[in-house]
Amino acid sequence: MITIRWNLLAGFIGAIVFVSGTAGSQSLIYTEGERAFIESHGPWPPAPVADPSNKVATNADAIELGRRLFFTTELSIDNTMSCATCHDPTGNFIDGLQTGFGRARLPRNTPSLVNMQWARWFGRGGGADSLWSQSIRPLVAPDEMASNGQHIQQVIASNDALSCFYTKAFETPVGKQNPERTLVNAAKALAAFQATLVTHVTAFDEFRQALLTGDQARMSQYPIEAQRGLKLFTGKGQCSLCHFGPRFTNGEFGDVGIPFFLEKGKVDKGRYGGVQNLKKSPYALTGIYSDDVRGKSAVKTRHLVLQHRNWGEFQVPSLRSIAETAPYMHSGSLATLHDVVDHYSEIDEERLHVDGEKILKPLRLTSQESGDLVAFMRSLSAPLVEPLRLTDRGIRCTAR
Amino acid sequence: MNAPKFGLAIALILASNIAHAACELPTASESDKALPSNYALSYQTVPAQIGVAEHFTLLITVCSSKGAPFTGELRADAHMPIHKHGMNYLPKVIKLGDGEFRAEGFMFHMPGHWQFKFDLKDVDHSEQLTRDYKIK
Repeated sequence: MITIRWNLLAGFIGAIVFVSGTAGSQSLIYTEGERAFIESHGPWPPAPVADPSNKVATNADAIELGRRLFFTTELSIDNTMSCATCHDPTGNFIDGLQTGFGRARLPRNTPSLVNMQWARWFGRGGGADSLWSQSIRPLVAPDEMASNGQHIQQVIASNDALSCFYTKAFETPVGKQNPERTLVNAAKALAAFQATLVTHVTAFDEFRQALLTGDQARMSQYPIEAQRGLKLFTGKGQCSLCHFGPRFTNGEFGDVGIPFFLEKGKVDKGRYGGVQNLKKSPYALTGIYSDDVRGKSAVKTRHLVLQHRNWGEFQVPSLRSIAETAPYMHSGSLATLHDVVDHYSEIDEERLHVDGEKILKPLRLTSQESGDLVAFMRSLSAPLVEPLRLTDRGIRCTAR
Repeated sequence: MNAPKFGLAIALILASNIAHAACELPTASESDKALPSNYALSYQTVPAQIGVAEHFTLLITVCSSKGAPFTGELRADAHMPIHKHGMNYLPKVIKLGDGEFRAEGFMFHMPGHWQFKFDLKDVDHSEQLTRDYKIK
């Protein structure tokens, strides 16, 4: 075995970095602090979470109903678009546009839908506190599907398969419920389907496991550029402070200096608007449509407080499969991951709130460092664990 | 840990003054490390080990320096002094009994140095106690 070693003086002895490995493959040596941060980004996937506010969250009939509803254009008021129109499953559940386009141009970039069962808030501004309540918003938004409970009830009732899956999942025929309840149940079925969209382990996850078990050979298979980027991510970049945990997000919100002004003097209030919307939403977890009778899932909502600093804050996105979901940021204003890294490298502190996150300072990254961070983020991509079924063939609903 | 000594001091005070009800800080909890104060305070997190971006609760015990249970109002919050921001959630304090409180709704959404803030107010005094907490 050929061993290559470089010593890099990094300010103090604990930060000395070694490189070892076989010819053509290398691995760095990590400090205890780095190992702790790296360990905190796994294991992947985390234990499954069945949303207690959605009693059909893991119901097979609800999942199949949700899958079919996701792909049908009939849910939209004029039969022109489905959920999949913007959340294109062949394109990692995004549309690839700077901002979405429904029945009109939308103000925000379309987010991906993978790994959402572990999310706390939903939407760029966190205007929903459950995956099912978030699913209601585009269904009824005038600039998106412009639908309503009555229309959705008719669509399901007029389709034998949809009606059958609905009856089995909710133990009530669709026609026996009021339209508002049907809207909520359709959203819960959509949420049950979306919760199945889980990505596979990545090159990073395999490296993390090798690091924890001391498997040098496997560690060396992780590209050296990604390893250097990982060290920047957990160290100089301080990215792990917000992009924390297995999903690489703390699930909260931050102002990272991206302009939030829209055209004609309009402003995207970000988290501020999200909290406002949530506080008045009939579909919040504190409302009558939640199935969590003990109300534990609503702790976050009950204790949520509107703060001035929420202006211009947007949800910290998960970085899993981030390389597949360009363009970036809430406004889709950054075209590539290199642009995102450059944004943080040269961040304009004047754009940040006076009482904003003081952890954000220009990183002044070198060209190699920027490339290394991008290489690390590219190592977080993986396909779905369960390939998405795009056809209804072979799946029949048999009434009880 | 100062808690056992403090508990002993409280016990001695109690023995010499039957007008005061007993007030002892839990010995297994984060003990009072504040500068001389009108109050002694301890807290326990529930769960005992909290995670980043996970909600948790505090069980708080407050005694007066005279050894009596604190009977005033308590407010509890937390912030990151270095980052100059607080939590995204507002805890709610529930009084369980004299000197005993339950504060729900905490969440530390970043790893690092946090500081609990306890605002105490009774007929004689008003004071803020702080306690540091590091989470990885």
